Amino acid sequence: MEEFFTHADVVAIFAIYAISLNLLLGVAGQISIAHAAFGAVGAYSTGYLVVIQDWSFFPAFWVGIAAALVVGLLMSLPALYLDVRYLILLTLALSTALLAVVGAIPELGGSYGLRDVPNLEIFGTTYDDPSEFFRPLIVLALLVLAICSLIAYSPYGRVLRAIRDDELATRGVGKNVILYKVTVFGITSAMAGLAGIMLLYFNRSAQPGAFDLAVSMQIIAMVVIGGAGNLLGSILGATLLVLLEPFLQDVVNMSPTNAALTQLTIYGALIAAFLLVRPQGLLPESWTPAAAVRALRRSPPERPESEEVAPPKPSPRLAETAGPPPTSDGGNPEAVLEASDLKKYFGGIHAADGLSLRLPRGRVTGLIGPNGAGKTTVFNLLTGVIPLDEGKVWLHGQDITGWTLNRIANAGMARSYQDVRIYPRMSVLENVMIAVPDQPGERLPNALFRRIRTHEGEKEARQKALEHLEFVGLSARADKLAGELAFGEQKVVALARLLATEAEVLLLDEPASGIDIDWVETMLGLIAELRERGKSICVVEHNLHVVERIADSVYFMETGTITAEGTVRELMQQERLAEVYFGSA
Amino acid sequence: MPIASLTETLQFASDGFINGAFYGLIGLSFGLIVAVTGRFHFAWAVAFAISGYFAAYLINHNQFAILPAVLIGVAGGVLFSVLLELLVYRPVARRAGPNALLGVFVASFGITIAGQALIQLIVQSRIASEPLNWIPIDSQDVGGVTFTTLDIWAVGVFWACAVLTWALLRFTPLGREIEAVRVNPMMARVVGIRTGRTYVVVFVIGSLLGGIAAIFFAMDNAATADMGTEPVFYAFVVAFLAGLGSSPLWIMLVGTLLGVVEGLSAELFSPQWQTVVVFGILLALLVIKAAHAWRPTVFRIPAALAR
Amino acid sequence: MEAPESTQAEAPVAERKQLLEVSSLRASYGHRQVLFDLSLNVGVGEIVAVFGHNGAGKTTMLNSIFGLVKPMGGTVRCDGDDITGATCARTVRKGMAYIAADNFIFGELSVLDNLKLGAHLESSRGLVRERLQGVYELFPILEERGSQVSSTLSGGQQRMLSMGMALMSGPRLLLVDEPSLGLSPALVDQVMEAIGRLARDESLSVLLVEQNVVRTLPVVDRAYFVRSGRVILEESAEELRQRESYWELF
Repeated sequence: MEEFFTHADVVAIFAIYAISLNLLLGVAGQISIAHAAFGAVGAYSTGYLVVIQDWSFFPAFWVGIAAALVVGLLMSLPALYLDVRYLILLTLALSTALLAVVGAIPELGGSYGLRDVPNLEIFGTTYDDPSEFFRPLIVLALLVLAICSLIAYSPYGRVLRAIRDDELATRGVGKNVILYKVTVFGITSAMAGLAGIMLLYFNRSAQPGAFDLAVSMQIIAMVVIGGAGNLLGSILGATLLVLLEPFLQDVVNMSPTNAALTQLTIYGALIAAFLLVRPQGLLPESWTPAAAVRALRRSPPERPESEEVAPPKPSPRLAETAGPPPTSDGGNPEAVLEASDLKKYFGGIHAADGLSLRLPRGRVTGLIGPNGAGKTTVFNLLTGVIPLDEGKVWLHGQDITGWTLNRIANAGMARSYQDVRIYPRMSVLENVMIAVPDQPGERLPNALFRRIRTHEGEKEARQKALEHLEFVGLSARADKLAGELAFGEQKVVALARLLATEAEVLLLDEPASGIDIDWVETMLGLIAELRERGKSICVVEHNLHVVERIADSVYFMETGTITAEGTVRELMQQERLAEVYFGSA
Repeated sequence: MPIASLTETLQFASDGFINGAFYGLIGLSFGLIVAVTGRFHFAWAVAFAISGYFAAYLINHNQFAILPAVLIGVAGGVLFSVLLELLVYRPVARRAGPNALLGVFVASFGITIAGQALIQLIVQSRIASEPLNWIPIDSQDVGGVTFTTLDIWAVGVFWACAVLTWALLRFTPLGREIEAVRVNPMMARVVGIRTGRTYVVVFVIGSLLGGIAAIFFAMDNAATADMGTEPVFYAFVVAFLAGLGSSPLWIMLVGTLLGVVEGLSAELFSPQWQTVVVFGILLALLVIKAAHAWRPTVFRIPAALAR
Repeated sequence: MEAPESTQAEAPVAERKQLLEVSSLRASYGHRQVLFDLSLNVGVGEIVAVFGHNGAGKTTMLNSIFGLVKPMGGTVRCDGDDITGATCARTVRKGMAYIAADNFIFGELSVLDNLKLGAHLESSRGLVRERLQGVYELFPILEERGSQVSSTLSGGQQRMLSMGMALMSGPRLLLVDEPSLGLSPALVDQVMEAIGRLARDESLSVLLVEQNVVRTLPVVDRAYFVRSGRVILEESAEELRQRESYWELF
């Protein structure tokens, strides 16, 4: 029995590691190769206080957690600005340096580590054998599972997945990505610290070797094999990997050395094998016991999608979620967006060279010009994706120069992308829901503690998202995975997502490109309807026929400035423009 | 802390210089592979171990003559690396799409763990350390500073390898092809280069250099199944410090510098703290790099680091 | 370079053997399908232009023909041989060379190394030397700046280098993507003139993608207009020159 609990204890500790890493790596997509190092921070902080300074468990425990939290937060800051290669290096260097420091400080026991850690004693009760130790441990493990599940399966978790799949698009729908990343780093590091502290008490000692890179890799293996993004899978992965060695020893009767080596060989090979053959792991992200039962009962799968997918019939009249009622025509409608004298230089290239424009309410303004004139750069400058060198931008009369992408999106200006950037692993409905503003469930305290409020908010967001989907005519596809849709449908979903932000100013980057004629008609119809609802729309397009049909007026851009303005017809009359666009004799 | 005498300081510096040549060569070996193929080839550690350990093992237990054993060992490391690229890295990268780099790294790490354990399983030896006795390690003395004959050979061979690699890249058609793939993979395809084949060639060259380093390492320290674990860290510290795609001669210089700094710090710090120094430097550089990415005008850094 | 054989120059257009035949090509750029049904051909010794607005699929078309991208459907024949979906190594051996619209040189390498790489698949060193001489005759500046790092050349000089690189493989068909991009009008004329000369002197066929119709027409025999992934018009240069305006073709 004791042996069972010995194993169960280790499984529980590693389950804590694996679940928290899965939240960070599998759900939020953030790279950390040194998860066990945070365990070391927790273990050594607590261990030092308990063994050397004679503290009792409770306060030492919280200091250990806090230390791991702080180190995690500190590490997350440079991680925001490094690319993948250097992130791997960063976490590797952290792990190695941390363990080297710990091994070098004599008070911490060097490579022999801290010893003589007393039995776990919480408020008078001592837990001195594995079966007793299991009781507080399982409570903590379940707590970690509960917190991570609440986070992962809430609107907050949806934002984390969105950050994982397309960070730029997620910033573009108004989410403060930096805050999310730093928070998740901190929380999961603290949980790793917790696991480390439990390991400290289980072993009644702490050595650097218990927290080194090899251990971190084991935890990654548990996540990869169990299933990235599936928290239950991490428990499965932890169980399999922890029990592998005792299994080899006791059941297969290998010598301890051979069992240890075989365990390493197997799990190392399994990591590579899974990445090659089944990258989603044993339990794919969307798998839950309930879903599995449902799948067993479901009728045979529908026929695969045919190549030609007919464009949807949009029903604009059903949706109410538009802006203010259509303005009366004539005169000069107010400019919702104004940009003045924008300048941006990339080395010697003047991407923007004194560019000014205004987008009026209830109008579609086209932005045309020869290739290389800098049109997409204008969108990037207006939305804050790249910083301006000079110039100012006003939205609703407010100076938004220098604002970040997500702040501008929340203020009422959002854009679509040439390459669409929908979230392929989420459903169509979720793709639109993510953009609905002011969702209580996207704030962590609500997701964790105010479940009812979160739930109500979800219902509202779902309702709004469905309305947007009805407007664009795709409500029938709401539950399909967005990645399975045809390109034209994806463009329409992206438009619905854009609408869900409730932005007044919509910047559409080549809405008619990459799709066939029927789909172009659908898009033009939707854009026209949006104009009726008072949106200020700017369209970058190269197909002049499309621009002619949809734009009220057009800016002609060449080498970084606007050189002409008017209707397409008027511009066509001007010889200068003909020369710039396709040359003239 | 007593201030060391000049002789002691020179000794530390000399030791550092010798170590530095090793660091430079392994940095070149690893860096070439990462710079051209983009694979974060952590399993380099296993190739290193295969080359050193099996050469030593064959000599000590199978009565192989030294030179054939060394050649077989190095060839084994090369073969391992090439198979890894063809059978693991390439398919994983294809499957992982945008996450190719991370996927390849994780797979590579898994292979490393499995590989090191497997070597030990195959050999089934309680005493896992195999000495490689070839070039003598008798001491030489120059002005109070000591080093061994092996050290002289090592520094000579390592620098020669670096110069040869530099010459290959600079003057031969193959070298031009490798540089082309590194500098502009798309244009490389446009001129008809089969980049997949180039990747394999780079793995061969890289693991050849690593294998040579492993043989000398085994002669100096004895070979073990996990002999690659520490060197691989130094390899990528040097590779990234020097900047991916740098000239082999520059990489050697950076490695030597690292060795000397580490050696001199031994005057002041214990060995444990030396590791802290090396990785502390790396951490600091990464933080600076991140700061530069955050506010480019406020934090300025040399161009090589910005890559 | 090889002495030109211009026996076929006198044959009427319709009878000229088709060097390149593209039928019903379908291709994507990432996830977007940009070519829906594109057909065209290029005869031996012809200069053919493909015009159209940006995003019409012109670059993807060249990439699919040359082998940088695998087409989703349709066929590409060179000299009658089916090379649909072939790799660049194969199409280069068949006699095609590609001049990209941007990122078209090995910036870190010297001018000479760039040119040598252009002849990468050529095993005869004598031929390589000959072609190098020919390129130097066309673009003397490249000989002057031989050891210079090519990223330090001016935009126009880099263009010339990319053309020189393409010529180093001794091609029969040049695929050129927007040669005028980023160049001043004077340089554009220079580049077009060089292309025309090459086609005449070396009986090189050229398939040229451009947005600048007017500056390109003087060197071109025939042109296609592409919009939204399909060909909407095919005309001889003569007929095109007589048009009043090109707006409705974009």
